[in-house]
Amino acid sequence: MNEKENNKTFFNDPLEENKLLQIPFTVPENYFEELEEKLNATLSGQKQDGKWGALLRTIKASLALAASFLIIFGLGWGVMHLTKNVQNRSELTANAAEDALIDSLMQEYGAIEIARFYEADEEIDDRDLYLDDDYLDAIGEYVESTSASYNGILAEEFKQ
Amino acid sequence: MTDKEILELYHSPDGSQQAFNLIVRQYSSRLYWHLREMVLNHEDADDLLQDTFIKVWNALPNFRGESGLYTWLYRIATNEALTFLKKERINSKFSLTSFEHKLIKQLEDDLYFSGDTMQMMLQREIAKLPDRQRAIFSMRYFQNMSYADIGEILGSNGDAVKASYSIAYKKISSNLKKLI
Repeated sequence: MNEKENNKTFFNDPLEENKLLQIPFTVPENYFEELEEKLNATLSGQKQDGKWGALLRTIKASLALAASFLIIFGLGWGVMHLTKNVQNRSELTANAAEDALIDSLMQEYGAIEIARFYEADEEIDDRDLYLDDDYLDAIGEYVESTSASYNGILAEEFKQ
Repeated sequence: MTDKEILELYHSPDGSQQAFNLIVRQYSSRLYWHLREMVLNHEDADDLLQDTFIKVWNALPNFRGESGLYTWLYRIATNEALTFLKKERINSKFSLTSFEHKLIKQLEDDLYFSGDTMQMMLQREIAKLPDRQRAIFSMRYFQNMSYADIGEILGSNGDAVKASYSIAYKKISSNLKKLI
């Protein structure tokens, strides 16, 4: 009788066979004896977690995630802040150059014309701009002559 | 030494390492065979057993003894095995062979398999079961554990475990009858 026929002959429910209740595996020689040493060697480099250690291990992933967000946020803020400073500095440099140019132009062309050039929106009295000495002298002579003749007319009037 | 005595030794001054070694000595063989039945090859069972004991070492300070030490150890080992098998199943989705086929191939090539044809047939049938049902079948059939204990280990109730075992038993028995 071969093994297959033998099995059919001796049991109806194959799982009731005692032989099947045994685990059909083996392990390398001295496996269980060496396991304890192997484990102790692994654990000797590892300190046992205390109460807080276990808690820390549980929330480690969440902490790492929060730290990543903080680092990314910090880097972003740093870059933005640095760029803003550089921009301010370049604006200051540009303003200083413009001031120097205005100073030199003011020395060369006079304050009023330069002020008018840069303050085009402000109302500037034209009479102030063209009051040269000859024009002022002419106005003085006209006023004097006019007032003299006017004084003569007034004197005549009072006499009457 | 009883579980209670081991735990008392663990909580005594300088007793933690000695208590842990006692746990390893007392439970390594049972946990190994449980893991081996789940993953079928020695290398994976060895890795999982070491991972289990490392977790036990780290979790012992917080073990309050609400469940028995024995069911607590089995729960850690079973969870390790189920997590491992889940990862293996996901990885096997990207390969041409199915996970069951891979398990059976490993079993046939295993240098540490010492059974006969009938035992090989049984192992092939067990390998076809879903992972959780395989854990239930292994704990009940080979280790003769109570349904209540298996339920506690798997976070389920005894009746659900009994029903699952019964289905697995009938399926395997029927398939073996067809084969012999």
